[in-house]
Amino acid sequence: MTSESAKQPWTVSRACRVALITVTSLLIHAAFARVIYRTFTAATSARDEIELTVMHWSGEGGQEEDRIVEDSLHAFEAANPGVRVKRLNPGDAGSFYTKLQTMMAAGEAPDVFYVGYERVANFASLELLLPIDTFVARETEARNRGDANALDLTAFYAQTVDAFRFNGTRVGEGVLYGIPKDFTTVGFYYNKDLFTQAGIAFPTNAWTWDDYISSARALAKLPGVTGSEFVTWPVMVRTYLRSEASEAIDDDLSVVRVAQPTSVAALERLRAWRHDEENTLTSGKSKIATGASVFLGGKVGMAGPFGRWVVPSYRNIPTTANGGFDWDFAPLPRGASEANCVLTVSWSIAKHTKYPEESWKLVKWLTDAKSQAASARLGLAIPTLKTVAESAAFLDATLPPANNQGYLDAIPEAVVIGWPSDPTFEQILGSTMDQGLKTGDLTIQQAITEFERKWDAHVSFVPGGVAPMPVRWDIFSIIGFVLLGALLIACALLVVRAPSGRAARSEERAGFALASPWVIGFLVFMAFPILLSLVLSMTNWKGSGPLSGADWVGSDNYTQLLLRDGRFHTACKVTAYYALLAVPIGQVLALLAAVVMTQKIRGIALFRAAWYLPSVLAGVGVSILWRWIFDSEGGLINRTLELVGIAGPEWFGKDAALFGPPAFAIMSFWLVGGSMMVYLAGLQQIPRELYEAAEIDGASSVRRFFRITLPMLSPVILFNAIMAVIGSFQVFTQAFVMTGGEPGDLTRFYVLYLFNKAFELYDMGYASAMAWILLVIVLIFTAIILRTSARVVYYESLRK
Amino acid sequence: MSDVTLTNVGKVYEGGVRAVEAVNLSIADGEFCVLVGPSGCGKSTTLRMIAGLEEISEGTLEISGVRVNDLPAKDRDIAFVFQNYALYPHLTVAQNVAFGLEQRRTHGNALTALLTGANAARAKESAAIAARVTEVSKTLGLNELLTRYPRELSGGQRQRVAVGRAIAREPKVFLFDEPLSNLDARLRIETRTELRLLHRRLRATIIYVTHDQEEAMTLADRLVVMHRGVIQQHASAQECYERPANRFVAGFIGTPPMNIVDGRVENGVFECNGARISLDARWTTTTKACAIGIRPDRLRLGAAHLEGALLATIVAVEHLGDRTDITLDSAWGRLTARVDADSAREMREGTAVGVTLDVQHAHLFELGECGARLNGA
Repeated sequence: MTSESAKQPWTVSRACRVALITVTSLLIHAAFARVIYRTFTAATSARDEIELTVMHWSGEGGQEEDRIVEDSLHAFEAANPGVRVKRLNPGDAGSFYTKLQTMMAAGEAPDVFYVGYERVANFASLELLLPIDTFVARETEARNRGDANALDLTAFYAQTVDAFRFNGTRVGEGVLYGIPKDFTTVGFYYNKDLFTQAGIAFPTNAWTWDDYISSARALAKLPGVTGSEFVTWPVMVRTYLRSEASEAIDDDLSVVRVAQPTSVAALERLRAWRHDEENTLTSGKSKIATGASVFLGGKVGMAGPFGRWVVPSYRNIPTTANGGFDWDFAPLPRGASEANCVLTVSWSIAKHTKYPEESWKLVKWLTDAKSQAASARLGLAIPTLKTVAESAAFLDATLPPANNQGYLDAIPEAVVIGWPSDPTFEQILGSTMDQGLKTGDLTIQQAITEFERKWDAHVSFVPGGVAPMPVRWDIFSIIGFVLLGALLIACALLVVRAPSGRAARSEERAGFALASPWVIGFLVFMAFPILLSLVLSMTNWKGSGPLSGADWVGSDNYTQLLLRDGRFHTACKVTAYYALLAVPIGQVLALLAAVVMTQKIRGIALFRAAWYLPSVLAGVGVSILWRWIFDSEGGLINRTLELVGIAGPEWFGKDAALFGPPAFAIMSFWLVGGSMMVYLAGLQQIPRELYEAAEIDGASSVRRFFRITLPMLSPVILFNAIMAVIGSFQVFTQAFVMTGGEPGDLTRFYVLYLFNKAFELYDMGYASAMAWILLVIVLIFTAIILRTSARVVYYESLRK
Repeated sequence: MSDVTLTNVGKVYEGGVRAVEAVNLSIADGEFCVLVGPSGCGKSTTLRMIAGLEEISEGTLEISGVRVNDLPAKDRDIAFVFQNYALYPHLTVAQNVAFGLEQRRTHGNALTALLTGANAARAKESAAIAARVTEVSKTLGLNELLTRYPRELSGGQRQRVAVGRAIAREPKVFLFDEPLSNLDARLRIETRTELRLLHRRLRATIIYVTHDQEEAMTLADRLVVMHRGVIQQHASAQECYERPANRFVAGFIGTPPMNIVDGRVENGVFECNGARISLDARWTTTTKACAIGIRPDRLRLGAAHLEGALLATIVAVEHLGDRTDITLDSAWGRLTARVDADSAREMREGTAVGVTLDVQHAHLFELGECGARLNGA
């Protein structure tokens, strides 16, 4: 530095620069401060006004359900001055539970929210729900004093109320955790026109499984018609078993009894209907084909067992007169006994709400006759208040189904299908039964064995032993502060030992100032969560409560994953199978596409854009599109194969073990545009003279590709290959939307299983361990690629 | 025989841009022919058409008497040395030199050779290639560099490898596209000489493109001066210098460039802006508007008010050691004079001088950029 530059005058540009730097960093820091400050002020600001947060979903109910809840809440606000209600609706039930979980983990749970009966045991044992028995007792007292507005539990269908009782082991008795808002029983929806065509009688409310299957067989004889859709969701399978006087699990939920002879016989029968008979039941197929929507096409005689929730969409089916078909409902057929199930949703209160009194008032409001009558209009569910259910609000004769009484007739025999508080039971039962009933790649006996093996592996896994130690957060906090301190000291040293010279130092200061928001953001939002997840991977944190509730389990999560968790191993296999196909073929395709795109023809920019377009389209919409393309019946691919005389596989059905992951690989080829663009950029970096020189030297175009293009492109290929490998381990959206991992676990990719564990099975510690194993796997693969490629990759400037 | 003949060869790009007008050019076997001209004159396009890197829009190209218009580059038996050498960066020097030979071997594929039992033949071929690489590298002094990669070489070394790659195949015709322009001035002059010697040794036909007229003059057996896609003159360097075909060639060949002044000749006197100079006997009968051209070394500087001289002011004196270039302002505009070092000693910037011409060395040209040289009586 010369003395001249050290005495640099305050020129305008320099002043501007300093001002700009100061303002920028101040703005960003202020934004940070504001976010942090807000969390402290929010608690104190609304002291004189109570704000309740209410969260619900509106899946099948759609916008109308959203509006009905909103109207109810407005009415509540009007009736209760001083109480404001903040309403959240994340969309469907899945998003709702994810959002609920994150809010609970953050200690900001909504005060009042929907709870599906199947979650009660889990939520109650996680201590997320407020017991409401004291409120109910007070209401009963008030009622006895003659208060007509007091809540009367006996006015509700008893099963629906019992669905929200939990005694610590089983649902149905014990502490009450919510007031049911509505419910449904299940049965089959049938196409009246097809029944008439087949010349068979309509189902009655007292029909049997024999009636059912003979109807299905008769319907199957009609051209192009499938007898019935029979969904094999765990709850439906268990209800079906109950109708044959059997069960999959003991009443006290402690002994699993899938293997008992009556169960096996009933399951074998269902499997035979599906797999041994032509067109009697829809066979295992992609998720689009199972479920409610197959019925809409008018080519499926019956569909079920479904509850009331399909009604809003079925009401869109035009009548026969208008080119559609007429339809109605029949409750679940009876076998050895009569059975049905109650599926219900409550309004519940968060355990740690600040306003239990107001919350209770709101729950009462939302479940009273007026609110229930309003929601009954939707047709989506049955009101839980008997008087409302049996009123015109529900039994509306102007809209189908005509047989509303069918739902009500099923109530006496309907029970709440209790689930163990650990949702893993339902997932494992679902996935293994899928393989037995839907895909058929396992026999019933094998599926049962598989279920018992997985369930045993799960229940025998007690991370941290019987008496785990709480996590010593104090120690980790100290470690954290030491690390942070070391970092600050390192930064300070960097500043102190800065290069001499005023200009250099000022430049460095500016650099630090401008980088600091990013650095702070990185530390707060990246480094901290990453390190925390490493700690969490050695705990049993559920992800649904505060961190202080977590126990230290050491390496238990890791050993369980690596040695015993069969589902994890399946997920690894599925992912590896996919990667093995998607990465090499995808890269070859991308490179070929890029080579083609270098052609100088008219409109090439349009072609490039068209190829790249899929890469910028939203993942979910595209996934839904592909679900249709891979639909085993009538999907684009199978239709095309049919034209050339090939019977296409049931990609996500019974052939999913072999064809599921390849289907996702094929889908991924649609997205080669991203890699293609990188290759294209790489190709255009290759000097044209090299090709000309090679041409003159006598190399054919194929030779030029292998001798010039490939070596010159090798660093780009390496980069793309590594990115593709990493990407292939992170398949999530497609699988989540298209198959949800089903059938069985045959398309349950690594990250999807991680998501299931973290956000559906509430095992965040376990999921964190999975994330770290994934990191190690990716690191290993990247290292292998880097090592093995060193000899073939040519770097223009790096290697000397 | 490997002579190259272009008959009415032209290049029209898509969109109608015409890069090369009907070029007629005949290059004899073993001739060192240099295409020279300012950038955009069509010289490179012409060369690339000869190489087969550009399609020939019109006309006929013959090599050794055979029409090769539609022959791909690799079948024309030519070698091309690129301006930036176009060495294969991922191959060693030896591999670069051998590349062309590798592409032309009969038993290229080791596996096929193994399967068809041509292994021995393949080995023999490989040995021949290795021998040829050694021979070429000895010729060009590349022995030490054979295992290096292009990025590890200096500019001059890369240039030699590029030449080595060209001569390895022993083609009929060598095409050079500005091969020296990426070298520094000193190396350029050295390499120029080496190329000349190489040509003498190989006795090959060389077509060489450059925009540097000095380089062109030193290398060429015959110069082809091009401008706007048209050949302006095709002659020896000496001829082009002494008897430029037109005003463009006159201005392009020679350093510093010829002084050219528009004016009028009448009664043996050239007049511009009222300043007159008497010409020699050739022009006594000519009367017309034209331009006069005279090389800087044919200007004589004397006393300011010399009879019959042009009055001028010295604006710049550039000493070049053995000679000095003087820039002058006069009624004829800006002129350059080249004088010997001794007579330059008295020249001072700002002083007035009288300029006379060696009129017998003056040329007259038709007006216009490419006005033809006039022949006096």
